[in-house]
Amino acid sequence: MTTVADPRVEGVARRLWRHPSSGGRQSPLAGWLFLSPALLLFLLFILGPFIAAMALSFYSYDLLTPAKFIGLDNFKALRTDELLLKSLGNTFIFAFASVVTHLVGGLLLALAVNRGVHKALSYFVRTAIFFPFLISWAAVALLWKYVLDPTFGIFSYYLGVIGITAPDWFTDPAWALPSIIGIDFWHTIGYTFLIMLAGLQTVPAEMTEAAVVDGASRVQTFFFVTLPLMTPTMFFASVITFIGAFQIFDPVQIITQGGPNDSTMTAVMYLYQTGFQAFQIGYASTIALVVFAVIMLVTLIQFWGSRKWVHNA
Amino acid sequence: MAALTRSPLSRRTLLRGLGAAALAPTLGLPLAACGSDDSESGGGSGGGTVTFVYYGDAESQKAYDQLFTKFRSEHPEITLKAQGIAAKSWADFANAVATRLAGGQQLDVVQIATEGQRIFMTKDLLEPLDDYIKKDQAAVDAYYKDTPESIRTFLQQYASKDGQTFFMPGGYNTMALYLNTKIFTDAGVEPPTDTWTWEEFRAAGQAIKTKTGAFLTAAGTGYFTDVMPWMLNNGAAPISEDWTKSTINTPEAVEALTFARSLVVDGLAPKPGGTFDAPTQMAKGKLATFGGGRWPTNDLRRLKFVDPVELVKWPQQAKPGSPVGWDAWPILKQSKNKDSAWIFITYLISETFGDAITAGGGGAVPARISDATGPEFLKDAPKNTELLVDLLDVATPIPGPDRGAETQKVIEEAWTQGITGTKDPQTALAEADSKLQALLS
Amino acid sequence: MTTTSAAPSTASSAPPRRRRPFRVGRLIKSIVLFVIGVLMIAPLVWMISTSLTEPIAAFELPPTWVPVPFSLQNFGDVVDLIPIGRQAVNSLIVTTISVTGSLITASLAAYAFSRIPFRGRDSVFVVLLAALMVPTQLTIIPIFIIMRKLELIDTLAALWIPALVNVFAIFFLRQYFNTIPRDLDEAARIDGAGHLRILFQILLPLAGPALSALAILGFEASWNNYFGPLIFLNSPEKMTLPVGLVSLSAGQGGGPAVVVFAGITLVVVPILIVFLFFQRQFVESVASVGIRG
Repeated sequence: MTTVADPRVEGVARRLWRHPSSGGRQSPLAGWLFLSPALLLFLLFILGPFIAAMALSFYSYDLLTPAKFIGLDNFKALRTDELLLKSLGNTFIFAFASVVTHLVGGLLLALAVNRGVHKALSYFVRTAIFFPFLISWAAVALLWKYVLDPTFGIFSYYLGVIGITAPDWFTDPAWALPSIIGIDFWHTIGYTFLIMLAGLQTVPAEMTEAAVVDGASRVQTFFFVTLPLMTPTMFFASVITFIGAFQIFDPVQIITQGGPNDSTMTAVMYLYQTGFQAFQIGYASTIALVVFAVIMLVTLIQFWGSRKWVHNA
Repeated sequence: MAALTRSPLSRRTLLRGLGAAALAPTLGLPLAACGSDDSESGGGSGGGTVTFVYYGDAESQKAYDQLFTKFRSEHPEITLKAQGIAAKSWADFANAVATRLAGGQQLDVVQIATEGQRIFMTKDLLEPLDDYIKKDQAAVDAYYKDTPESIRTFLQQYASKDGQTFFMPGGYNTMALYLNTKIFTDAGVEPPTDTWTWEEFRAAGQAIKTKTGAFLTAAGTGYFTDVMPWMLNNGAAPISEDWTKSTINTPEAVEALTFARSLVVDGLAPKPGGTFDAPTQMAKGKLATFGGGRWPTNDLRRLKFVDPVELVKWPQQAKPGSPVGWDAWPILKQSKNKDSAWIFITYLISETFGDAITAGGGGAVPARISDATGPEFLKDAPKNTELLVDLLDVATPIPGPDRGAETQKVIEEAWTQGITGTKDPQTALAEADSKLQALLS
Repeated sequence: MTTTSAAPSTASSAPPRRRRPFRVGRLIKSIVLFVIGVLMIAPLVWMISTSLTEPIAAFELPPTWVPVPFSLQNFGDVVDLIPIGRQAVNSLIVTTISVTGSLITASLAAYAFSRIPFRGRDSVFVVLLAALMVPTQLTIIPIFIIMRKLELIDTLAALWIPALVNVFAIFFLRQYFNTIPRDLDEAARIDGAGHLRILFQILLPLAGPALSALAILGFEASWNNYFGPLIFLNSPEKMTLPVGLVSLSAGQGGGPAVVVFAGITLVVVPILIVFLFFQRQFVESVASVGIRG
């Protein structure tokens, strides 16, 4: 896989998603100074509370009685928690589906509207794709509960017009998770789409033009020029989408509550239920740690794997 | 998946967490910021700040705002902080309050729904009101005379110990059936005058479906709005009267769920699973009945479809029944201005407040009987709205056991499985039975 | 598809036999895109249309997409039920400060991560990134306590101060800066520019698309933030729009669906405007980024 032989491009490509070369002397003072505003706020409002909340995983705390230190008991309990396993499984399915559909869908849509279509159409499609993202999850969930109602909802109605009986979107255990995946896609694809669009602006037109001049077909141009240069953005989207998808909570809490039959029980929903319905704050913290560890692990794997396919793939 | 626009149950859902977290400040735990840092001056004798927390849905906030302005003008020495928490449900309300309490915020009076009243009391979070009552005996007596005795009895039974009183009762809701008389007339069916049986209900549904194409009723899955009415009207209940045993797997309970399911199967009720606006469909002539307490009346008013609607009793199989849930106001033990808090409560139980709340058009039946049967409440409302008060005679309180949120989830999930056909009623309820028993013991 | 809007020099040299398939391909693509757009936006159009009609005319089947009879009753009800004007002002204050502030702190931090080598930098970056992986449901109580100690409860500052650190923005900008060649930095440095000048005069102007994207995303996150105001705000005068919206749909004292739909519509209008304003940055045939310098 060779890129166009432009030294400048190679330089750029090499820099994409690599740690920036440490050419030049280190300037810790400047570095920390520039980081300080973000870092201070981070310590105060993110890291600090996180550590405090995580410390609870060594306690049994139900907000009713004083917290009891129980050492590793919560962690031992993890091993026999079947529901945790099921929720992790559901979450993985959801996250995987989410990442794949977002990467593919986001990239294709971004490419489609970036060039080669009438300006007005591009404007319309961009807005249409992004509009769903602008309303809150509560609004999204409410809206879709109405739209998907088996009797009075418009989606079911139009399905009926073309002769399809709508499945039980939220009450059939086989359909509940796909329904949540679908609604989540509708709501969040605009976000990935935006990121892909921004990333596309780093693909210089000169390069794709040069490829055409050199006789490449459109498909070839895409695979050998555009796609490689988009890999950093795709990597970013993949990492971010997974981190977000693995913590999916709002639509589950509002629409299905983890049911039916725990088919939509996701990790964070389970965490919430354990902490705020069963009032086992300590164990909930332990679950949070598990979620964190899983996301961290997968992200690290993604970073490690990125060397293979990102930079000048 | 309530068939109604919003879960009416939300007013009646879980608050136990409140009591739970209210204890947090007294615990020596890193997260519990005990020892109030609030610079609230603590007067023992009136004055100071009183913080009142209530469920902040839009209409309550509007109504309360005006009332509190009035209170402030009458009692300038008290700084009233009225905080409506706009939570998505009572469970979220509980959690929001729990967070504030755990974080050390000072609260004096909190609006508590039935499900949370007992646990507050048992966890020793509340100040006994008896001495205060004696101070204002006349006002309290007048209030008691004008409020349903059954609710006070329930409070004594479930949320009191050693004969002490901890709560002043507020508004409430029962479950009646809203009925579109026009659809009934068009179908040639007589609406019931008093009680009607399940078979009569179903027969009416068949006629309505044949002649008008409308659905008979909505098949919802809410604890308060669907499970309780169907079961109670067959002499069954999900939980025993003392809230310690699961009774969800009795033949009568199974019969109730089976019947509700049959309505869906026979096309008399729309398939559950989504949400639709029941009052709107009723106004459009597509839905003959739906269940509700006071709250759907506001929706009907907006649709300008009040006159053709009347309230009737839920169809019964064994004996009439209805769930009831009510608000109540206690003083938290941690309050630093209990005297002022009591003054505020006397305002909440006053006639002025009662009248204003009634005129404001909230979603509950006003506590005072004079208000609930008065013209302000009954005007621009479906016929026979007094039924909501009468149902108290046969009402069963919605249970508030300790692990209420989980209990509710088990019950609602079992009902949902049964009514959607995911599981057959017997299996669903049998499975729920063991889960429930574990939660209740 | 990228070659059709090529610069004039290439267009004239493109082999003529490519033109016809392009047109058909383009047409098909346009149709597909249009259908996708329509399907995506259909539920929202339905929602808005439902809110613009009288309550009793709503939820018809077959669905009516044009609101007939037209009525603003639901919007009137929204305004009547919640103090939407005041809430909008509060939301606007919080969001504007959050977005501008977070972009500034993120730019500074991203610059450090991208351009200033120093020991421990990459570890700090990983720690920051790890923050995104933490479910936030449990950290609310410690954060509440911190807010109390800082006496920020019931202030708008409780909402925008934590928002000033946006790890996602730092991450995104860092990656974006990494695609901008260092030659430009070098050139500026030779001319005597220090870090700040390089950041503000070289990098940020070239990061237009990234900043616009972050502005839109940041605005949306802040505008729709419900949990923060729910927990940290008490007084009705300080409340923001998301809280008002939930109070509309909550419990028995909220409004019916049509009123809630109207509320959602009202709340989304400002962000929609922000989006329409910023999105031009993305696809106005930006020829290149940073290559030409």
